[in-house]
Amino acid sequence: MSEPSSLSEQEREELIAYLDGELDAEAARAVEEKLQRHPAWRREAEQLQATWQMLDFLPQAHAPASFTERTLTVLQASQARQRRYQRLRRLLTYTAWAAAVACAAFLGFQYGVSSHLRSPDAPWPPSEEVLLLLEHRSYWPYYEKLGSFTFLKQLDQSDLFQEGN
Amino acid sequence: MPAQSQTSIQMALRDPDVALMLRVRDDDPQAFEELVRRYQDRLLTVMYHLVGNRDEADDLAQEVFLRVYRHRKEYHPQAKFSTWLFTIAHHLAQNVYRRRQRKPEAQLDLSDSGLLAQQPQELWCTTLPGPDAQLRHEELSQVVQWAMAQLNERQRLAVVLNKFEDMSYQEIADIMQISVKAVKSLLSRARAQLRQLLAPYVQMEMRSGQLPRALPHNATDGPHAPAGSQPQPHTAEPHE
Repeated sequence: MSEPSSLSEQEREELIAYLDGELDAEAARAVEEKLQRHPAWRREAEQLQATWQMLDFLPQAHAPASFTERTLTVLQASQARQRRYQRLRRLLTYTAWAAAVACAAFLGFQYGVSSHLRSPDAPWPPSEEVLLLLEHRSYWPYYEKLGSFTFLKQLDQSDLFQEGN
Repeated sequence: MPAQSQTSIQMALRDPDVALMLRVRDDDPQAFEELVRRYQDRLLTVMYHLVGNRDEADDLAQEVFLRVYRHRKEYHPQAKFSTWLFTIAHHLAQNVYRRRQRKPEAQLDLSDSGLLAQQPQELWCTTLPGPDAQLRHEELSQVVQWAMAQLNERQRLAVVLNKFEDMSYQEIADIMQISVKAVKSLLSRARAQLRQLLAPYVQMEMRSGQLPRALPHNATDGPHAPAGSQPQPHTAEPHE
């Protein structure tokens, strides 16, 4: 069994950094001087170096022949999954936009109707004509073009579009 | 030309792996395959020594490569490619440590089973006197693995990167996101601990002349340039 190190922690750090070639020229010279003068430094250095060489006995792994192929296969599968996810995300985004636009149109329409009803000029309760328009939204384009309720009333009263005619 | 492009070109000229990674970034599929082939053994070795389990190391190494590919567009070479790769590996290994802390029963302790359940001194005494050099080599390998398993995770990472990847303190500091001074201290403590743990075996090896006693002539020789015979590294069998 070797004797315990007689170097302080800082001295040992310097010695190991020297052995690793990590010291600048001046610090390396200082360590070399200590190595020449002090047998304890030399013993410590020898022990440390021999221990470091013992690590050569550690196993070094070799990847199996299939490793590269397996990695590439996993990568391709992961990319395919990623593409599917992106497609789904795009679809969901478009759907969300379409729903938002439809929602906005509907709310706009509702707002338009309610604004019209709430305008100071609009009588309350709404007139028979306005109720007719609310009941039959399909009449709106005709009303917009004609600007008169007369035709719409006639249309409503007539059985022109009723089944059996 | 933008400064970032200039840095990329300079790094690519200095480190061929940076050039390869830049090809991966530009969606060259062959470049990625080449990158995996080039780094798989090194990465697997590091991961194995970090997590201590071959199958888990295999899965983690694969995950590291997948992350490299997924984040290829964010790659901007500022250091060696291996620094970036092992930074990812370090983060993944940390996830494993955290998971093991949450589920201690899932942790694989190298000293839990088989020959490693024994104290190394017992192991040495009961099996090493055998005449077979290969057996002696394997026993020593297990003793050194046992000693490595006694280090904490940060020490182990620093040792593995320094020993197997021949990384400088600066590179290790970049990967572990700590200061160079902290790396110096970490490695010093780790090596002092290994020295204590392996002292009996080091003595025997030195007496048998397997390990050199000579010191480097100067700092540039380092511990990686031994002056005498050096034990051949044990190579683990590939696992399918």
